Amino acid sequence: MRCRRSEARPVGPGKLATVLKKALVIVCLGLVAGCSSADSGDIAKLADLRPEFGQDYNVSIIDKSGFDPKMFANKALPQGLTYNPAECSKFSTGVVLPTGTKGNMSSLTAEGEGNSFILLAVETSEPVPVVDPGDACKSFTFSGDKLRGTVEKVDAPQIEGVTTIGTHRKIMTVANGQPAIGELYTYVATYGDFMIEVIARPLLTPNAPVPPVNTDKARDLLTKAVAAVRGK
Amino acid sequence: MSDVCTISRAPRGFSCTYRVVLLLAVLCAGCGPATPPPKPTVVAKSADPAGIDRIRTKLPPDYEIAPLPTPPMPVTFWGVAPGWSADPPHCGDLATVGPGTTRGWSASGPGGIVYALVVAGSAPSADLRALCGSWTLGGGRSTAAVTVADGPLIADATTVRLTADVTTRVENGTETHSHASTLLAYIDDLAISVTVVTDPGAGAAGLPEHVPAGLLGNAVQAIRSTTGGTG
Repeated sequence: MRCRRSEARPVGPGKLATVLKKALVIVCLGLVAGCSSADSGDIAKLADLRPEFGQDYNVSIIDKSGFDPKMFANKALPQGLTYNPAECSKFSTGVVLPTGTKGNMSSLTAEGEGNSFILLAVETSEPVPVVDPGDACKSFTFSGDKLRGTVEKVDAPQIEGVTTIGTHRKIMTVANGQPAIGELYTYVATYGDFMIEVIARPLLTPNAPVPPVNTDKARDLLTKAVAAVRGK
Repeated sequence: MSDVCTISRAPRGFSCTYRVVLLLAVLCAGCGPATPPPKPTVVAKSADPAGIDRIRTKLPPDYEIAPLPTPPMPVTFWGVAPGWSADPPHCGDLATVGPGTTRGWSASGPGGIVYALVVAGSAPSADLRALCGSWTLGGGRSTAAVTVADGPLIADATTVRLTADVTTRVENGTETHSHASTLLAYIDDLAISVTVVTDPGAGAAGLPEHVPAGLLGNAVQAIRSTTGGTG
């Protein structure tokens, strides 16, 4: 609860009322400030984005339901990779929810026009930390025996009152001489206890060239998803 | 202090202190806790795993039905012995199943061996797919080179295609090769898969390309339907 009485130190009877009033005013002002920036939203509104995908898309929607930790697991890259610059290794994965985080999630998956878009709206029991990699790690590489890749910060839409970040990750793997490229664009928006994420990647078809990712659409989807969840 | 008292809406006659306390109470009631801790909710599911049995009729003729080998999961169907390890390690998750009841069948015929399986499971994350475009698996005398791509288009389902080229050392020092293709569809909380394993040296023509994808589409339809599906 935000509402707490402030403790007044023992003072003379004449000053007690004044001290109490001052303390109450401070608490009041704090409450007013807190109320004015109250963060709310409805993650089920993510489904409102269905019309953003035409008939060429295969769309599936999972309504508001319990959190699936698997959606945010398995992000760690294998051990033994060399990062350049070395201090950037901690930014090699996407947003990772703190252990024990509980909450609800809605998701929308759309596949079509050579791309896969995954939209997630998450309401958690505590704010989701999003750390900006800063200038030193806005672009870095990693390499190992069987895989190498790049991670770079990319433009994310600016949304008032919301923290946004965009990341492009590209992973090249080779096993038994068979090369493969995994590519992900991730756009994350956070405010309060809400996180909205758009993951865009190319659809991979055997023996066919890898199609480009429509990043303009991905950014636009993030803006619209945030607006839908916030009800603005 | 007088400003605060002025904006409070307490009835006249109350002291300034009481007015502030009342204002505080109003603010507390209006604002409340930021967000109540979200309670995970459960979505009712109507899919029926028994539908997997009904698609056996979609097989070409001359196929003999048998139970699934254990533990029933794609890695087993590929012929890789238990105790295997994947490189990178996380990639093995794509070809295994979690705890829970499994249901399915196998069928052998002139075009190879078909395995159909339904089990609780959710689609792999985009990160896992990106990391596991090409990976290896080893267990017992067998190693497999695995590639991952998107699967066939099935309405309202996420699909994955795993292709495994398996090499097995035999006792006289020679090697045998087999080719496995596993198509997975994820609906609700279920993972439905159809695996076809062929022996390139067997000489017989393999199953036509469209058969595994067709079987998977039929399986999804049958499992979604609680009234008989494609039976």
